[in-house]
Amino acid sequence: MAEWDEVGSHELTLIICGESGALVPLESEAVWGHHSLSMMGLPRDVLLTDEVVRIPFSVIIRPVDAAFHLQFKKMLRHGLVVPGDYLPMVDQFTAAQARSRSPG
Amino acid sequence: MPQRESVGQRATSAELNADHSGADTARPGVSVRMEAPYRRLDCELRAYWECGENADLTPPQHRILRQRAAAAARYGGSGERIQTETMGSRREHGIVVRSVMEFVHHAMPRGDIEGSESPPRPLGRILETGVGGRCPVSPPDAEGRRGAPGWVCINATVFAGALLRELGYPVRECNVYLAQSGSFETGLRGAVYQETALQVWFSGGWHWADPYLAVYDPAATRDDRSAYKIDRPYFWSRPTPPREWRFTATEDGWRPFSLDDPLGTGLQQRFQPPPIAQRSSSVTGERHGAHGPRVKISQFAGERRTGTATSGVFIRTRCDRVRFSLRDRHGRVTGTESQEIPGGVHIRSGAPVPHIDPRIAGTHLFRRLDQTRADMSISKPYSLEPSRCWPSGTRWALTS
Repeated sequence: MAEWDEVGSHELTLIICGESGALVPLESEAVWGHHSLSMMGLPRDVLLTDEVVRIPFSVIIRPVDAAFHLQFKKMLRHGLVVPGDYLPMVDQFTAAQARSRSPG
Repeated sequence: MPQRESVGQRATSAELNADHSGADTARPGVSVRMEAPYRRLDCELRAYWECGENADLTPPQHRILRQRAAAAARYGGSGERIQTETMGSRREHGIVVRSVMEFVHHAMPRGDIEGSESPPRPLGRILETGVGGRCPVSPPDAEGRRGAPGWVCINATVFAGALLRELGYPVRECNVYLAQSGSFETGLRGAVYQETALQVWFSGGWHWADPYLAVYDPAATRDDRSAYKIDRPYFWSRPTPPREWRFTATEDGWRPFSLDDPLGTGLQQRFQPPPIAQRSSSVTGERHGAHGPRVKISQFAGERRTGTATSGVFIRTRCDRVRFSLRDRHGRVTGTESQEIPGGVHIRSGAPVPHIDPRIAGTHLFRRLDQTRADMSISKPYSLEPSRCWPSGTRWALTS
């Protein structure tokens, strides 16, 4: 589960320090939880043209549900909820979703 | 695990594998043993998955098992009956498995999942009580007390496993640990419960099946309204029956599923079993919710904030003599020298990561990371659920 302010795009920089001229292969693996995420911009390998190389990349954490996300955003704007309400509400929302999937 | 009874003559392996009464109709699962992916698995394990404890039954017990298996395969559950033609001409393994699960689910007395334990019973004894037969006797565990916990999930699983094996299917034992909150680093909090289940092989893979709850996904073990928010599935990895279904120092054959290991939850999507509380038994007509909720229901969503899911991104390199660090958009850095990103943690290469979630530790990348400890490597999990796999409060972690 992600907090309200964690949902969205995270612009990060991977800083690699090493011997100039070295080829640094990068491996990555994503594991999803309730919030799906993806990582963009990380190359498969990096040639160190200098002793320090900076690689910008993004990690995007998607909302559990787009419509729910917009509703929460609206309520937040109108002061009806606070960011701390997000996790309990997501919890209720996902529970309701799970119940609706069961036909019984 | 039930102790083996040493009475009478044992059924031979050849007898157990014999195709009774006309080929596939009686043993529809035998054909799946010829599937190429299955044949590639360890032969000693395959022998166990196919016979299990059935090999230890006496001939009279095995006769009962054969009758029960034939009835279970056609049971259909929820009052419907599977047509024999379906069984014979078109072997729908998923339907057979569901049928057996429903048979056991309805035949076994309902016990509160959180009730006091009843001891595991030997398979032979389970069969001899008449459970699943026309005139079922009172289960010995309930000791005649109304509402007393009856057969626990272990007995249901042992019974279902024996039926499926008798029908020819390879079966392996599974376990799910449930907790209300906590983390695998600091320990689980709240009531911790164990639920047993099975995996049945067909159509090229294992399929999860839980006869006690009649669900087909370990995540479905948790009632979506319940306080249990953490589940941790395991499978039995030995070619002999588990003596203990709980984890003990002497029973280390239980292996956690890694994120790479498919749990085989297709039957859950296919059959979408209704919630336990909304079902009724076609045998007794009793609503299953009659004994109360399957698991504790938390009244306040705020109490259920510890979700089960961890999301993360791991980055590493095999290249030696490099150091990694991470900077966020605010200029905060987490690396070997500093730890400024909130929740960020740096772990040096080769340093053991204590209490890491075994599902994370079992990922392909992490295994390789572990194997190449000498390498200068980085792992940057982005943990949305820090309590699950990293020290409490962790949002980011680095290893180099």
